[in-house]
Amino acid sequence: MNDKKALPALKAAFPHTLPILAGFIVLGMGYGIYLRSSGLPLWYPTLTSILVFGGSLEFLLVSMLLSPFQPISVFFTFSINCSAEVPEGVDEGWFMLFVSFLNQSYWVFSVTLGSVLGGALSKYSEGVEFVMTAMFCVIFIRAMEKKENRISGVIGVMATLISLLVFGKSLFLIPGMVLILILLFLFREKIEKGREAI
Amino acid sequence: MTTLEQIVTILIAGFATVLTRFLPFVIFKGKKIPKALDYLGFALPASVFGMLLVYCLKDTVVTSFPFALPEALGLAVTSAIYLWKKNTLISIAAGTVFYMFLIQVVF
Repeated sequence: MNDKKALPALKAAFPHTLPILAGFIVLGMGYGIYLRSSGLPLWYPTLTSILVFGGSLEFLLVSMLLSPFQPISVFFTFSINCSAEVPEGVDEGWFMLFVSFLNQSYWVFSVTLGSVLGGALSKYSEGVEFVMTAMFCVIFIRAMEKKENRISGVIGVMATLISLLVFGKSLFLIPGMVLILILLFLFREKIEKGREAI
Repeated sequence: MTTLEQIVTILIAGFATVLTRFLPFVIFKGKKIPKALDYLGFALPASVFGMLLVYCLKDTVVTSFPFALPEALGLAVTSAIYLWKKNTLISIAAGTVFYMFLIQVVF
């Protein structure tokens, strides 16, 4: 352990995590309230937020927990999410460690807060699960605002819709993902052209 | 789902998340990423967001009252406020509260 590197890294990391804190309070509380209103026990939200720090994808886990057991589908859905950014300055290792640590702490905190509140507010919380729909709606619009994303965005919506109609709502995720992959490679030339134009 | 199955589900989700965070660093340490994979890294996110949006709406009933009206209006309000204010959190919060109002009071 090296304290001389750790403390400056913590100080440098903290401001970077503040916007995340604001976002996590809203979404984390929504997630906690949603989980509780789904009838899951008090400790579930906190447990999932510690073990599955997947941000928006954690919402999906709620509906998966409420449907029949499907380990393969769970695995594939949670393995598609990934993100990594390399910051500069200070000690990179410590910096990234603290950014991750602070972010996850905010997430666990907000989710637990929502979970506790959700138990008390359950009478008025009908429909709160729409927070997930609204969130993905905005994320999707933000992606679509960039021209180079439009073909792949439309592929995602169409492929999933087709798969939902063909396979029904308990089985459509994996066939939908396969269809997305096939279509993405069929349209590769076009999408790569859009990418080069950035 | 039984409690055991729920716990296994949470653990699988956790394992898959951690695996996808670390695997790229283990496999591609110091190597060049294959072109096909690099392409997917660019094209897949937008598709996945589209997929998740459809996933969220999978339980919506279109064929009987209220004919998916609350969902459609909720999405319309969310999108309109986002396009107007360009603020992610305000539009999500407003759209959710509007949807809750619709299904608790109106429909």
